[in-house]
Amino acid sequence: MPPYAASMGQGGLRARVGTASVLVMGLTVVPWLSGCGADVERQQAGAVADAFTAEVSSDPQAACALLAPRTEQSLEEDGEACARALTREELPAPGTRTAVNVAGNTAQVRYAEDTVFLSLFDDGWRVTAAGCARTSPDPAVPYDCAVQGS
Amino acid sequence: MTGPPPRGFWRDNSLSLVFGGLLLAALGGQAVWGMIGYNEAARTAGLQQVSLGRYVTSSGFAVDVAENWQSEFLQFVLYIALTVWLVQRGSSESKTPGDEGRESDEQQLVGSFARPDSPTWARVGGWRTRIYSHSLVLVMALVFLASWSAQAVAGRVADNEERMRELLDPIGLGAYLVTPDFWGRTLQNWQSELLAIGTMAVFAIYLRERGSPESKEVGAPHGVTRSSD
Repeated sequence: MPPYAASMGQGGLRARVGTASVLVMGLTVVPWLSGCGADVERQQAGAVADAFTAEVSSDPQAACALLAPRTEQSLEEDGEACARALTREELPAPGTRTAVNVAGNTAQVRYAEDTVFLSLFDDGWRVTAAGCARTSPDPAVPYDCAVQGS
Repeated sequence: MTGPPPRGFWRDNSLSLVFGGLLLAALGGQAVWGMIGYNEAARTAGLQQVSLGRYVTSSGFAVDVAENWQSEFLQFVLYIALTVWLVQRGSSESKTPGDEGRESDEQQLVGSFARPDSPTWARVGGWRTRIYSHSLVLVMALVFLASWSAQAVAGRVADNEERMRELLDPIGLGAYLVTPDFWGRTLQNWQSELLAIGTMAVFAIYLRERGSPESKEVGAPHGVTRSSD
């Protein structure tokens, strides 16, 4: 090989390709595996959202136990008990569940009349926001939620 | 011409081994600092922090790694392919002006011009020699496409995690491929790789590193592209 031949340090380059090919395969696989695991996560997030929306009216104390810590603190900001504050918010009857979306540690469960957001904690999915509705056709404008963390 | 005799695995492969080690060290550092950053954001939002194991299997980590890898392999694809036809006079990274093109079978040691120790697919001719003649670009391009696809898939999940944290609707893959997040991650890496390789091609005309195969000899004239010129 002529001394000035165009090269990118070919020995190192080939080795980097070999090592990287294995890692790229891993990188390609990880998101797909995450997608498979997401089916279980979707079921669990949907179940927690169903339980929360059902218990808001029947057992608000139990519904409070399904809230994320920051969201529960936000409800209790005025010194009112969580269950009492939750009842006062008069969340809409959700209707039929229409979709569950999970991405990483967050989830969104849509109902005909309500949308609930959740986050994954060590002890399972917890509701971060509920009683959410769109207030703008602009998708960059967030949902307006009756209950959410500060 | 078979080169000097083997001197042992570690010495004969030191360049590959060191780069492999540096890659793993950098990847480990990226994982640790990425997890720290993720957990800082989680504490700010009052959300669950994650372990290192959970972080390195997250889409957030995958997209951060993949967006850099795809650009590296695109850089190699472009450079290997374009230097067949384009030259930079005086650069050790270029062929000599006038030598542009695929070159003859004799120059490339293929078919009847192959040596006894040439790779089999270079000697046999036909479709195997045609494929082998482009195997470097083909493999690089496949790794680029795999990395870029991984960036898109993992990036969408990571973006949706952020979107739902901000009480926004998640989006599908098709919609994600036209977002500022996808193209921002892609183009910021492409521009830096193009800058680096373009700079290398030009700096190699005037600057030297004694003993490096990436440099001309220290005393080589600036206008000389190859020592045989």
